[in-house]
Amino acid sequence: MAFVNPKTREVQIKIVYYGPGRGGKTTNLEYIYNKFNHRIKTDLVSLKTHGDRTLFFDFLPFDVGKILGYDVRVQLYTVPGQVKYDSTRKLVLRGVDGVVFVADCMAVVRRKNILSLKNLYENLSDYNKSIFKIPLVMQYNKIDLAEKGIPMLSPQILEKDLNAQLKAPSMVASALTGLNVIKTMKKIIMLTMPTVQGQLK
Amino acid sequence: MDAKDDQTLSAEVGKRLDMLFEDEDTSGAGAAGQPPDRTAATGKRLLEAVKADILSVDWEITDAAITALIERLTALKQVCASDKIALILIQMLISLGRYIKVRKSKAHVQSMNIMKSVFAGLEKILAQPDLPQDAKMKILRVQVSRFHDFQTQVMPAAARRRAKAPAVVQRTAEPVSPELQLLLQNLAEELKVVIRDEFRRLKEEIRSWRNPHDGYATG
Repeated sequence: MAFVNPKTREVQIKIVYYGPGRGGKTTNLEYIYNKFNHRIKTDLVSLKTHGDRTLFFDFLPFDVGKILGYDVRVQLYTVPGQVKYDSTRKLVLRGVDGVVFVADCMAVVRRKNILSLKNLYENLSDYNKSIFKIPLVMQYNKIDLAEKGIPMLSPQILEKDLNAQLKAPSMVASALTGLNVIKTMKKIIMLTMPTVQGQLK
Repeated sequence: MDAKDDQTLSAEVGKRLDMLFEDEDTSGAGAAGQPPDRTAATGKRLLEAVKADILSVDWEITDAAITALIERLTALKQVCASDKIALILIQMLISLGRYIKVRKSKAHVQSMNIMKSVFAGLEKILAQPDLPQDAKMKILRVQVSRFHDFQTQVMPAAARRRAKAPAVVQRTAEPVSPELQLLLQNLAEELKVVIRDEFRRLKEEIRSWRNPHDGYATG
């Protein structure tokens, strides 16, 4: 549920990028930051391990501006993808308004995608949230690797594996090149709008 | 907050996000205090978008992806209206897009390769506005020749199918005929443009032979 402060007239929308380790969640945020930091004028906060993996989370806030008298602020988070950091993932999901599930298109990580989605389902359930009801966008990342001859999962297989029941908006992407990164982010923010509007009433 | 405000909030957030994350070419523009070249920036943005669309189509041929590609190419055509060579290449891409849209996964195996090759040529031409006309023509000739080779590969196959089973074609004429008609129509359009351009160039060349001093002040 979006954080609305009627006194300070502030609205905060929390978006979490979820998915298997090394799937490109941080790369999504890095692309947004590197390309648009001159406009959003905020910093990407990242806590990484020595091996350059996300230890706690990445955090990229930005202001959308004053709308209908409210200062609208979007906060993008990633979770650590590695299985062992489940408590951190759960913590980051607290108060989430929308989720981008960043699936990895590489054939070798097919099972990891499914396990990670199952983990999202469980962690949301702990907050009494349903994966079927929360605004969700499926992003099938790393399509750029197809050109390098790496065995890939087709969007049809990914849809069947991950989105057959959820039927969430989905798109292929390349966080590395930026393909559909902004589109994904815009889509998830717009999907949270009905909830935000409901809270402002 | 009433229903009107609901729409306003959503619309306003969408608008702000578009403004905030509009992909624009900031390199050079404004650095010397000059206004940015909006046409060039738009062209570059469209070209990048077309590239992304081609990648999407290469990944999976869907109606949505192909339609987006054709719409984007049509927009790019308007931006490049003054560049005849770019226009021919864009028209070739549109034709290929229409062909792939009709044939989908049954499109010729070389379709995407030809599309990528034509796009590479277009990208080269648009990325280097200072490229000499000869170099541009060379790129165009290579791409047109590849495109024509592709057409000869595609069309006899369809014609062969039609010749082999005339009875079937008659009964199920629809799946084959519209595609061929579309392809022929597009080919005719492109050939007209190429021939007209070649004629114009030849006329200019002949004129310059006849009047070597044409265009110079004679005092």
